[in-house]
Amino acid sequence: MKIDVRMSRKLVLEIRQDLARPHPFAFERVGFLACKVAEIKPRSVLVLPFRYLKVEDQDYLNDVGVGAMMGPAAIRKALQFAYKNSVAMFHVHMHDHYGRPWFSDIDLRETNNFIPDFWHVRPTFPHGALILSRDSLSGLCWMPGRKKPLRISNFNIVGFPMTFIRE
Amino acid sequence: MTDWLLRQSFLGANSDEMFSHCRVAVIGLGGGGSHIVQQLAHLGVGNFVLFDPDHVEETNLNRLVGATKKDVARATPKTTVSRRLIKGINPNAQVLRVPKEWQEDGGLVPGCDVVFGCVDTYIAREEIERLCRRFMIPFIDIGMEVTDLRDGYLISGQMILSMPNDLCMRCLGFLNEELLAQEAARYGAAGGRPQVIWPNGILASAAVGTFVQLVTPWRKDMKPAIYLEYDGNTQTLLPSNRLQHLVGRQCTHCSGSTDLGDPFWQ
Repeated sequence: MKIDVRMSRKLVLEIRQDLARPHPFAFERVGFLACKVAEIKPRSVLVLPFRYLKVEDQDYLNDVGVGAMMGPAAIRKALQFAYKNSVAMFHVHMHDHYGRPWFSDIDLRETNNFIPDFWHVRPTFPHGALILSRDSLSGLCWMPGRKKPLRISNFNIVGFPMTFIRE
Repeated sequence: MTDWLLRQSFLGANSDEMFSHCRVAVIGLGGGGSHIVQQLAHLGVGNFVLFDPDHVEETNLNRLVGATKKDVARATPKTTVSRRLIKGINPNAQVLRVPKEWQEDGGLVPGCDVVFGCVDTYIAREEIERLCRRFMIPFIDIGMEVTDLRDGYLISGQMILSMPNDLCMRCLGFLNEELLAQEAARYGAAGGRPQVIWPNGILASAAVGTFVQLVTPWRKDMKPAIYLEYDGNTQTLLPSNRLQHLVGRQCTHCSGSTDLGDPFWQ
């Protein structure tokens, strides 16, 4: 199975602007992307992020061991949004470099921990995580019930100009 | 850069790779669609999904690029003619033929990066635009018309780029309820409409130029044309006057996020 992500350039700019803002004590910011989903023939899934949900300043935990640690309120708000709006939810953060980014071990451990929570509220949707760099992005997607995530194959940023990031 | 695409290297160092991975749908392979397919093949576009339920008829030969007398005799599907045309230029291209109405295999469209619409009716245009918006796909529409003015004829046409989250064909004033209702009332009575090759060629070229501006602009500050109007009598293709009244407007017809994705994925 292949996973593709298609999102607007405007939304990518909004995410970058928020994640680039300094936080009072966290070293970096995180957020969530609400997404709709579609099946692509023959065996692919298309993820369509449409709204960025920023994590409020007060919803971070002061943990110097990691770049940013979300508190329970941040996860609760994202879960509530997924439940209320019937959407897939993708965690998003940014690494400050050029080129294709990838998740650190801590990123992977933490994401693995909270993804199952989203299946409690939206069990039929895939959920996942995206990571941005200054000029690129990568991502992982957990299909319903699967323990191992799938690497996102293609990103299609829709705007002027279109940007294609392919594995 | 691939050898046969060297002359278009100004489009970007990796433009050949970008085109080869690009997946486009072309809906309607008549006078307009066959031109578009040919030009996209020359550009090096590597993946095609071609929709058209019809086969070649005698009356198509005045404008169907790639069709021959033999195709008329054999009743060759138009998708086969286009596939032959593409493969003759770029044997590595992947071509998926769908010789039926696009709605019958609509699940193939969401996987495409750009959709070209070369259909005859306003209703079909709106239907394709709605589908493209649901899956956030840029939609490039072309069409031409010959109108009887009693003392002569007017050839006219349009090229519209409908971007997701931007102005739709209703916003642009190209589609409206009255027009759609009139067309629905005429359903089945249209008969063979007048069509000629050169306006289709001009509009197809504008559509392909818009596609290239969209995916690999050769100037950083470039923005593709949104709505071009063709006047075949004066041989002009100009941005629609309507655009100046729409600066800063947002689409009020398409509801955005609630209409995204598969409606039954709950």
